[in-house]
Amino acid sequence: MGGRKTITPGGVVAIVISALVMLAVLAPLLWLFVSSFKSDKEVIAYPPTLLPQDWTLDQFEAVNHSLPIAKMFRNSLIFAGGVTVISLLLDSMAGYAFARLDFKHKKLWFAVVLLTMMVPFQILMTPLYIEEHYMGLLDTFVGLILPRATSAYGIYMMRSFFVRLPVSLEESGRLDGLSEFGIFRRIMLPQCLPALVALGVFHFMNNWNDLLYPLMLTSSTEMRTFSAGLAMLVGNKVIKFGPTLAATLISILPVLVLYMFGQRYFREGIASTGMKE
Amino acid sequence: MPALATVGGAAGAAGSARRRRPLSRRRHAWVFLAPSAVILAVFVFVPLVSSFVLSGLAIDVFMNDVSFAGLDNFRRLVGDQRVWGATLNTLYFAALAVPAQMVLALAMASMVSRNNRWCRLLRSVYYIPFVCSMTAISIVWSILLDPNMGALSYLTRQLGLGAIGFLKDPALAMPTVVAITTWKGFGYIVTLLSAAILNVPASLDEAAQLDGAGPIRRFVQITVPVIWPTIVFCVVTTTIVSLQVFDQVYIMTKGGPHGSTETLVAYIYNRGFQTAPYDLGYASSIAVYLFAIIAVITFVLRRFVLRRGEDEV
Amino acid sequence: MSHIARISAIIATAAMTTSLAACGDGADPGGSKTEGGDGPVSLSLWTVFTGSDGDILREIVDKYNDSNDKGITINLDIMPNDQLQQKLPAAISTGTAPDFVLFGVEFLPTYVASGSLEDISDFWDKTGVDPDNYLERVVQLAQVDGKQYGTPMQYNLQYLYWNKDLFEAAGLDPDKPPATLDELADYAVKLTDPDKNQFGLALPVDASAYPQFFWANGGDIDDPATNTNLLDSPENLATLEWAADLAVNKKVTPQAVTGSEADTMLQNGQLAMLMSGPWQINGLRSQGVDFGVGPIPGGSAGAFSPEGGCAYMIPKGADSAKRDATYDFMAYWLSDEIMKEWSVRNGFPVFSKSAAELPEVTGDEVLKSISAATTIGRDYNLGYPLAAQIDKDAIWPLWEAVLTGSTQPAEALKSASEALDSILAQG
Repeated sequence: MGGRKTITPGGVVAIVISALVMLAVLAPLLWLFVSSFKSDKEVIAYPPTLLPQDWTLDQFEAVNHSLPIAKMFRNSLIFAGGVTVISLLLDSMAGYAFARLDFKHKKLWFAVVLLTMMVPFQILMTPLYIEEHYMGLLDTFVGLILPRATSAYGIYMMRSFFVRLPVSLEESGRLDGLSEFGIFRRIMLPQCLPALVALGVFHFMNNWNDLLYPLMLTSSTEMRTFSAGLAMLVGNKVIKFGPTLAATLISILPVLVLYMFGQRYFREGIASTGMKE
Repeated sequence: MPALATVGGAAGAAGSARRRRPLSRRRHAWVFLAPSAVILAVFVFVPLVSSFVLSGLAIDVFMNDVSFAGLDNFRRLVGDQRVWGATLNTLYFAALAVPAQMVLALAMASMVSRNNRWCRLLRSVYYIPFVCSMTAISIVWSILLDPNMGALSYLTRQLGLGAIGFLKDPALAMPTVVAITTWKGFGYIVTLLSAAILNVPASLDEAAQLDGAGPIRRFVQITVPVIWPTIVFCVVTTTIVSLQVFDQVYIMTKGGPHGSTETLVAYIYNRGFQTAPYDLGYASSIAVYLFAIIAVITFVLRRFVLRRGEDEV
Repeated sequence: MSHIARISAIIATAAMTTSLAACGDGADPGGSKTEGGDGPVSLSLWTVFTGSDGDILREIVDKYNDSNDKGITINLDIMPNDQLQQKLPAAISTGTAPDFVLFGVEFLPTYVASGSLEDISDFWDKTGVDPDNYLERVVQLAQVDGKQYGTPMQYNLQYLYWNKDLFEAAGLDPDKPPATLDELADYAVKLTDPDKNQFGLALPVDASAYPQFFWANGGDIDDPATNTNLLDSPENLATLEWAADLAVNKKVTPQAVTGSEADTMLQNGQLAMLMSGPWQINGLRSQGVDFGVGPIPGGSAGAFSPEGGCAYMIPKGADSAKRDATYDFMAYWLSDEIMKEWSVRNGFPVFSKSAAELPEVTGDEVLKSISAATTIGRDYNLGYPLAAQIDKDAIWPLWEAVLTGSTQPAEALKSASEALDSILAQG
């Protein structure tokens, strides 16, 4: 893409469109944000109010009263964080192998990896539960993290990024006498930092928000994640919207912070590319 | 995609990346692959094969009274009207949701893939819905879209347009679910595409600019070919995920109105786990059927539709 | 434990790995540790009580944990019903089920049919709780073929809720709800005001309470004892035409409204009347709605309402110490003190004869009306394994088609009857 130069008419159109899309994205989220500060009565009032007449923290207090938030956050963090860290390593290693190394039946094996994405996980849960029972992994963090520690999605994604990198990069590493793993770690992986960040956020949010999987594989309230807590708030028969919205807001924040944090690495990733080119 | 066939230099770099290498380096590949291979084999492949086995059994979730059913479950599937309905609904969803997300994401990525504050802000904002859980998003949208209580219908009423039952009208329900899915998911694809675009060597673009190519032409002829593997990845994975759509339908419409949003995974869940007698064998056979559909579509996409030159995508 | 062997066979076939099969013969129930007779006992309980009644349940369980002198501690685990129903069968097959569970009695027959629940008929003798102190119908809800598989936790019918303010605004007596279906229709029209976006009566498309309309006019759906289809009758056709007239022509109900949307509209004053269970009461109270609750209006054949409820059940394989401890809590729940607390705080009808005499119960307006309205209960396919399929695959689509006007009642009834035929053929 071109650098920052004089603003063209096309540039103006782009800015207007992208700003409009931003509004469309933000509007429902702002509604969520504002509504979680409304009273029970006002959340469901008709005609709906735009801003709360009285800003109240009642809904957050209700969430706090019903859920052991700190414990659930800790569990979610261990589970989602553990999966993210390990799978970033394993996914990028496997993705690298599929993109840049040679081995027998590579295409076939890659197809096999892709096939694992194609069965709805709802149907895999019961066999997985039984399997983990026999392995003694039920209700442990290891049992939660291991099955998610790599994924076809991540492998495929990293492969698609590694495959684009020019051969010259690899060869310069080879001339420097780096080992195959050294080339991967010191030269190729830094090139894919933006992709790594994106994949990291993807894994984190996927597991952070997942309900069925952690609920099936843990059997005690001690091990419950925040998403299970969110599900506990939504009533069995009658939905109470206030606390549900407040808890939704709480559940989004950590992932958002992670993403904001990760944004910085996009720049650094790009900067390193700039030097190599 | 005729424009893409004319691509020059940049794609060549990717194409020549994989050439025959000495035999001694092959065993390195297995070191890289082994951890993932073991985990996938034990925790994904075993349950997957188990569900294939289950599809050939008469078995409920309690796993009592197991008997071999042969192809009975599949014969039942062929005659089940709801499987057909769910198949069409699933394909309809994917046919709308994949292009919608890809086109919007490509368009936005072309506008926001620069390294300045404003573009970073936009990318961050687009990404926010993606990090929210589908459950939460579905609850928010079903309140907003409710024809009687929702803010949106209040607005349309005030404007004299009357209330629109977005999720109540069988003709509108699925497009609405697609729109919400797109709203939630496109920002992630923008991020992926941006990550790829920002890695495109600036020299390529500048050369084209000197040749007098406009921004759109440069995007199509220079940028798209270089980021092609990423585009293919996005299309393929979005397709696979879309064909397994469940959460949003489960919460917002429960498959209705009149079954117009009942997808295959929703029906699998319904038969296997929601409606007694919980028929795990039959649910598994529908899952195998869905697996076959996804595998064929993915194969066709990768082999024929998205293939560019000699590159394996 | 032979089914464990079968499962391991399945897994082993699937896995084709010897390691899994090797540890597959151990039949020890992983979740529960055997404990001594009088030592501290820790019990796990899975339940579907999410939301505000879950908070009350947790408080009662905490109180029990603190106050019982037998060293029993109950660990409560709350999860949504769908997830519980998916997890529990897998847990039972692997011996990792909790010590007892709590959910709707409509799910009980499937578990009983697969032999997954303990027969607890000796509960009454062992604990000294007198079964005759409880409404007979309630005790029978958790029975299959005369054997007790659960102890009652709560019991409910469907009731008519109405918004008193809206009644007054429409010139109706707020203390005189409609007593017949004709009056109900009449009131519903008067209470509907499109300009204010206000509706007279919600007829949700996904509610399971529709048999009461059929019954009121002398119709029925099926006879579980003989697997007979009773759906396609002139009485039922008349009922459906009446409902279609109300929904499609007179538009008294929000178009294609779901049960949970109707709840919200009753709470925010957009809806005047709704038929639903006692779980409405807490929401209406916390929203400060001036509401009345009474019996379902009757038709030419009388007034009936389908029964529902929840029960405590013990999954197969519990050891005797755990079982005794669970019995202790079950008995605690049936005591006057707890029955009173649960009913007063949640608005559920009292089903114990001794607790019904307590002053806190007789003095509670809502409890008094709801208990008075809890005499018209009728069994709708309870204990019938095909019940869920009949509702979801035949009855709900029928009402959805009729209420939204997508199909004429006669035609819709005919196709629902055919769907019912194919469901009953499995029985």
